[in-house]
Amino acid sequence: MVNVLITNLPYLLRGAVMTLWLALAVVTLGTLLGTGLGILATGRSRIVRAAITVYIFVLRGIPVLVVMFLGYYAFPALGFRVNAYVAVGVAQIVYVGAFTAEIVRSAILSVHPGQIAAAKSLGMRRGAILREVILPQATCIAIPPLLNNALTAVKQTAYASVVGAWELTYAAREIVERTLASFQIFLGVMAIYFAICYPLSLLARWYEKRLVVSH
Amino acid sequence: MSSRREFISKASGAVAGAGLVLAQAPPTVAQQPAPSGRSKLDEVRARGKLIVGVTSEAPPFGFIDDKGELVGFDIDVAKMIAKATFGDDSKIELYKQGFAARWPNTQNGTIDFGIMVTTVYADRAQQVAFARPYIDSGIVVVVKKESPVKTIADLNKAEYTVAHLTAPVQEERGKRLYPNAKFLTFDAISSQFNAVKLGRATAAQLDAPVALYYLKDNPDIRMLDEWLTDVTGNAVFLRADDFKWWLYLDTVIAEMLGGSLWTPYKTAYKKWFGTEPRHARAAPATNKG
Amino acid sequence: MSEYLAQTAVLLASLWPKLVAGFVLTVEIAAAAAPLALVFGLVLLAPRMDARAFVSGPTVAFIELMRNTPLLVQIYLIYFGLPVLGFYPSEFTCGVAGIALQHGAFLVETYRGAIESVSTRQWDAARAIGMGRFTAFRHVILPQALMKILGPLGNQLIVLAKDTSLVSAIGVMELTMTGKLAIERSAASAEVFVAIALFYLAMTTAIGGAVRLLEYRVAERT
Repeated sequence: MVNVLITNLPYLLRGAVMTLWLALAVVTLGTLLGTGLGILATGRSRIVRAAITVYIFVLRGIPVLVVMFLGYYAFPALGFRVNAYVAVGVAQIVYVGAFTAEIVRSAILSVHPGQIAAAKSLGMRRGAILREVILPQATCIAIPPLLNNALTAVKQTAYASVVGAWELTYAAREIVERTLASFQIFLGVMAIYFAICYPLSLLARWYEKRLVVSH
Repeated sequence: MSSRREFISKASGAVAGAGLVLAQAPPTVAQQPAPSGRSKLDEVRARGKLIVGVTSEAPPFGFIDDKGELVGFDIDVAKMIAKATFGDDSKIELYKQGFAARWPNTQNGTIDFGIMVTTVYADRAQQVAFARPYIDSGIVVVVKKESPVKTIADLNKAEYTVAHLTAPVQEERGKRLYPNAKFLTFDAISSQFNAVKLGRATAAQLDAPVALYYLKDNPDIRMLDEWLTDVTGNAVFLRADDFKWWLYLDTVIAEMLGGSLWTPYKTAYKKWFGTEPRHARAAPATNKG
Repeated sequence: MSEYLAQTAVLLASLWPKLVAGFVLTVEIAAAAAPLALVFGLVLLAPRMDARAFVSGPTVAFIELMRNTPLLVQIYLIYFGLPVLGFYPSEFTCGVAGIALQHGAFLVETYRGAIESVSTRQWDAARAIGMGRFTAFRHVILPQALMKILGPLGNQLIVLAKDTSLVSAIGVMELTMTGKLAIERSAASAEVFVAIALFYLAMTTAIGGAVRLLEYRVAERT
């Protein structure tokens, strides 16, 4: 019974590699995008702040699956022929970016305003305040939720299979199509995802503990 | 109170944003002619390879074998078309896609044509164009061996459940032929088959060749003698308003069915279905008396 | 341009009944799964916080499993796995169960965090003025924990409502599935999904607004 899983493990592992690539791209670019937007969201331009607020609000209110479908069909609709990974990847990056922006924004805003006032009264310029006072503290606060966000993003790569990008869950479905051994294959796939995600989970937990200790 | 103001401004912003997005998208609702008036045929020849939409979830037409390779009858036919076009069956990109993405990916040009267990129906021909069918098919019903269901009429009971694929035509057929039964809709053919195997559904609608393939390894399932449809055809589908491309593909398929490409077609058919296909023409003239 | 809008409007008008039906089913799934998740989280809370390892150990293992695997795969497993064990629940039930299990596991941590974050001083003070353990919990700790929980709970509810879209993968005719079928019939795939996105946005906005309102009411009371 377990034979099915073992015979097809090489193919599933190829799928897992694809998942890892996808996850890496989405988490890195999504976090970069979100961090930039989060910092901008605490800036001076009201229009920029409002626009980013709308962006965050809209993307947090739509399921990631629907965002991926939109990406998959919007690119060709607008005249761009991209491969499924780019379409789904960009959609996910935009999605992860929204959540990241919200985390970064709250982290920055949670730095005690007294500190900023003190820095200003010392004559520090905006850029320096951002660099020396706000960012170090905000980073510390933001890292645990960002790691959790990354964990969620990795799990969400599985949904790309529903839209049509090949990764671990898609590979699992293909094997199930041929062998009909759905229970064993999906159980095996769950184990693989666990192996990928648990270390990230532990990292997030460890960081949270460090944060509590240092405060 | 400021939170309510925030809320309203966010909501109206979202609506405005959505409106902006809709306003920017170019017209895709109506069919557009090929962008530069160029036929797919020219585009394909310039590109030097075919991009073909296939499925990897429908044995024996397109599936992943135990070595992890994408194989199947549809795959072989696609490669034959590549060989006919470029002289080399490796000048092809097999683009895996889900069944739901068939028409959109054809209409928006992502794939040059698709070959994935697709039966010809009139309403589909309003979305895409079909070349002549490359294989006969038909929709059959599978049930568990010990099921009391013997005919389609037997199926028309409220306590029965039938598994369909996400193809509206299956639902319509169901409403027409066994409206009292309950329907379950799945994304994947194996889910349909598994549903019957595991007892979740009483029966499933399947393509005849696909059913035969699964039945080989699953003696606990049988096929009803009565077919749900007449003999139908599975065909290659392509963009609807591209005559040059359609004519080319149709010619190639015609040659497979009874002309210069008969031999590779016959070989592939025999490999997957175990029998020889029927030659489209009458027996060829011989020079033996 | 106006022709395009007119065509899109006509298309969406013809799809409207199906979209609404899908939306209703989405709401039904969320309405069924949410209370189950809340209760399941509570059920797991005691074993999770139990000092004995053989009780908290398996609980933690289960929670970790739920948190570190995608919901989609969990749903597939329930859907394909239960029949092997002899149960044949409907795909609706499977979807609801999958969502409730995963979100219940997440909620345990939320509950735990809220309870542990109510300062131990409150606990000590309540005991110092002579309150029994249960009374202290009910009248001092719980109200404060509830206040803290409302925000995260509201967020979790929104995530749950969005996760209903995954149930389309096993064939439930909710909103996302309706979209996938609708594009079989028309070329306007992007437009259909924009409409679907707006439906979801309406739903999550409504939930968010309701939670905010609830937070105000509770804050006024305490």
